[in-house]
Amino acid sequence: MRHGRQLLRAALAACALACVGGAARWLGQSLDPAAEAAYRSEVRLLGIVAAQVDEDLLRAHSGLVAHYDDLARHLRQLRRVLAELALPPAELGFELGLAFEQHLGRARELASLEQRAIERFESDSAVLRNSRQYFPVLLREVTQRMAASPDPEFERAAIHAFEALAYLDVLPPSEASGRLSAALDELAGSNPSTAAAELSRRLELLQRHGRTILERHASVAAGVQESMAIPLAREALDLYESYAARQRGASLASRSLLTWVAMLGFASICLGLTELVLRLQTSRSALRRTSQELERANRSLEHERRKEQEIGELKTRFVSATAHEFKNPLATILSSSEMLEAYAARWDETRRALHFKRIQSAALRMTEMLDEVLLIGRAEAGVLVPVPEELNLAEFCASLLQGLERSPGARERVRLSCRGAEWVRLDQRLLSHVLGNLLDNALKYSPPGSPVVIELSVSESRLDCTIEDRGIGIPEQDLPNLFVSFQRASNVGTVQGSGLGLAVVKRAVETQHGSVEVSSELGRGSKFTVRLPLAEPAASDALPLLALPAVQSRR
Amino acid sequence: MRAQVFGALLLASNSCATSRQGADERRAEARDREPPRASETADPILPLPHSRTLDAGRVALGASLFQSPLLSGDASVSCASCHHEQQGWADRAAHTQVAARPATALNVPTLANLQYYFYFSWNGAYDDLAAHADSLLENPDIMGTTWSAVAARLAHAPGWQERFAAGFSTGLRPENIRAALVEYEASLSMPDSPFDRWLQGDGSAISVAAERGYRLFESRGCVSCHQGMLLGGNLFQRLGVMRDYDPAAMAKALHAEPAPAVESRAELGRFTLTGREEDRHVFRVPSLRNVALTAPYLHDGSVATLADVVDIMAEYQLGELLGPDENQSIVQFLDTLSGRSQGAP
Repeated sequence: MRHGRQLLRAALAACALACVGGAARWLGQSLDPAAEAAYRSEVRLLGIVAAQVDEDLLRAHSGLVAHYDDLARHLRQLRRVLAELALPPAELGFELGLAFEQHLGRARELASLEQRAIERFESDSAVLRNSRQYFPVLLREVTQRMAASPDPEFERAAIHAFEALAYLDVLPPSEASGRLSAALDELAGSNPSTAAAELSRRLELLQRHGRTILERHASVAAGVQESMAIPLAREALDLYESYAARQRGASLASRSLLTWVAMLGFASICLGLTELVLRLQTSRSALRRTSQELERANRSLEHERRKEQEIGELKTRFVSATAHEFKNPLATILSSSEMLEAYAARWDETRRALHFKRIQSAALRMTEMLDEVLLIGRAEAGVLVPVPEELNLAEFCASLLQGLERSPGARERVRLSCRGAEWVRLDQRLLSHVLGNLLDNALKYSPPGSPVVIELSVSESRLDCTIEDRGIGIPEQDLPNLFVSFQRASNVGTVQGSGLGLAVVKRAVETQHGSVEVSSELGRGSKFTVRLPLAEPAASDALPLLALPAVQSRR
Repeated sequence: MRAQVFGALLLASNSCATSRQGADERRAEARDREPPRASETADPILPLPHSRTLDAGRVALGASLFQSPLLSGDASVSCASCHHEQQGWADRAAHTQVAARPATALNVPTLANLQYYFYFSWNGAYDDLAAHADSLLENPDIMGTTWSAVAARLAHAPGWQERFAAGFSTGLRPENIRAALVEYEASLSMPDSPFDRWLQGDGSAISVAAERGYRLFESRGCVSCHQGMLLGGNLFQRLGVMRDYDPAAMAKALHAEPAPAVESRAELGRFTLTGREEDRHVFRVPSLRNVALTAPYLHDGSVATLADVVDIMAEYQLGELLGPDENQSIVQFLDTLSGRSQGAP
């Protein structure tokens, strides 16, 4: 009997030891921080690079880049990341490993799909660029030859062809191609009588390139669409998510292990194996620490994932918004400058001035949009710091209204009143972003001639400001997203706008710890209320400015 | 972090500060390869940077390996048998034939500026220099051996053991042979061409005619494929965009004897890789750097002179006939693309 008990004790002790050893090994395996961090960064890199490829593609399509080096580099990076992701970490366990494997397989499949879409895009777009660069050159040449024997009909046809070319990216594909082919027909029909051999050869080439443009343009647009529709970046996010799931799994497993180990600890106490108890206790606290750490890591991972998701959404919105908002002024600049280049000599002063004006206002619009986007970006990066200064409210309002003089009739519609102290301490630039945008919107979204009322009142510590219009109002369902970048209300109709104004207002107000509210009735008008706390007079007037990251502009 | 998205989108600055460590390292690597950003303009062509810092010892070791016939299975040819420095690191023959090997199916491509390429070989089958080196070494029609066989052979030849021990902590190992070769290949950049100097603001670096040639190169559309730092090399494109590629018709137009047909599927470009009909005769767009040094031209070396190949490109890729003066200007421009070998470091 005694012998039997001793045997049992020994067996239990051995068993407990083996369990503790196993637990330690298991934990050691699941927590190889270096390998895990490396792997995780690969997974994230996948998402980043996939997004970069999309951006490159879009920029290449919109003609903002002149060469494919970046695209090629990012593609290569994408392939390398996918290759390095080949094996999921061994400690994932069977089921998670399987899920992970599936995600990886899908990501790889998508990458090869994207690769094919990009190859098609590249080759079609290179041909398209061939023809598009060649087209104006030829057109000009033909026009010059024609100049010897002027032919107004032909000249008109040439201008139409130019215009059609300039609008190719702006108009919907069917309309654009209709225009171009109509222009080409017109061109062909306008001239046969004067055709010398050389001229008709040139015309033939012109038409061939025109046809190439028509043929390729649709497939280039489709190529970009196709590639953007491939959810590679999204898939990378899913991969990331399965990582998070893995973390959760690991923390659960370690908890059940904990209870098991505790029970065994109890058994060994009963058996008087005190030494073992001590050892167990150490590993128990280590286990608790570990599971807490895992939970913490899990939380932060979840947080990052959400952030990443937000960025993805923002990017999508940004990309579609830029495509439209930046392209329109670009196309205006292109067409006006090309026409000026070709016809300036023959045009009269007013016609030239008109085109110069068009170019200037398009460039101005782009600059303003860039400013707003940058302001939002800086606010989100936390580097937008208000610089309050003493400012005369009356003077400020006067200069605000002066800015309206660009649009006729606007100045007369504004009723402005100020109450309270004349001097306030606020950041002038941010204030003008806030009031300027709200005023702009009020004017833009209400019928011509209707009044817009601004009331400013200064109290002890606060500036209250309301801006009220009798315009189209804001549908209720749009209110929650009103201040989100690139979101525009559903009833804006054909009124131009970037969807940035109110986002700028919100950022500018919030960095000054103020608030902005809106009340609106559809069809009756909107009222925005801004409250800004006045800044305390600082001991030293010069607040240190946070250094901004150096920004490189690209022509 | 959103600011980064904005930054990347708006300003195309890849150098945006980032908190991502893994990405950081990669970006740093990418940055090393980037040209000086001072010249960042709307120009579709970027100047070639000076070589990034390389390990001088390994480069020298790689240079010796490059010249050594021990790297071929029958110890009869070296890398330098086909890639001659004086010929822009390419070969004058249309199809190179050395030491009882069949003639190469395609014209030997140049090694100059190799470190800036994204794809290797005519059909772009490789995007990694080391993998490409593997395939060349193991191809029985080229080197016909393996890295471990080379390592064993070098171990018996005098001097190599010591040199490898000096360059690599692990000494003479198969992977170190490849690493030394790749390091040497990365050193073969040829910056400082007259056109680079012109891009960097030296207005007198190229002649007026060459500058006119560059403008033609841009306006006629050549630049839509031959763009970027290498004037090509980053795209795949079909030979025969505006007119179907037909080698016999081409030879006839040039009043040349039709090239002795080399039976090879390699002529079909990326088709050999993918099997897709749309990839027939699709090749990596060749870089035009040092193009004046690397005659003959096209994948099969069937065109002997620069003037002819310019006409052919205009006709087949752009659908256009160039006047003789236009052709001459473009050739003069292409002449300004020859860089300087940097020599042994």
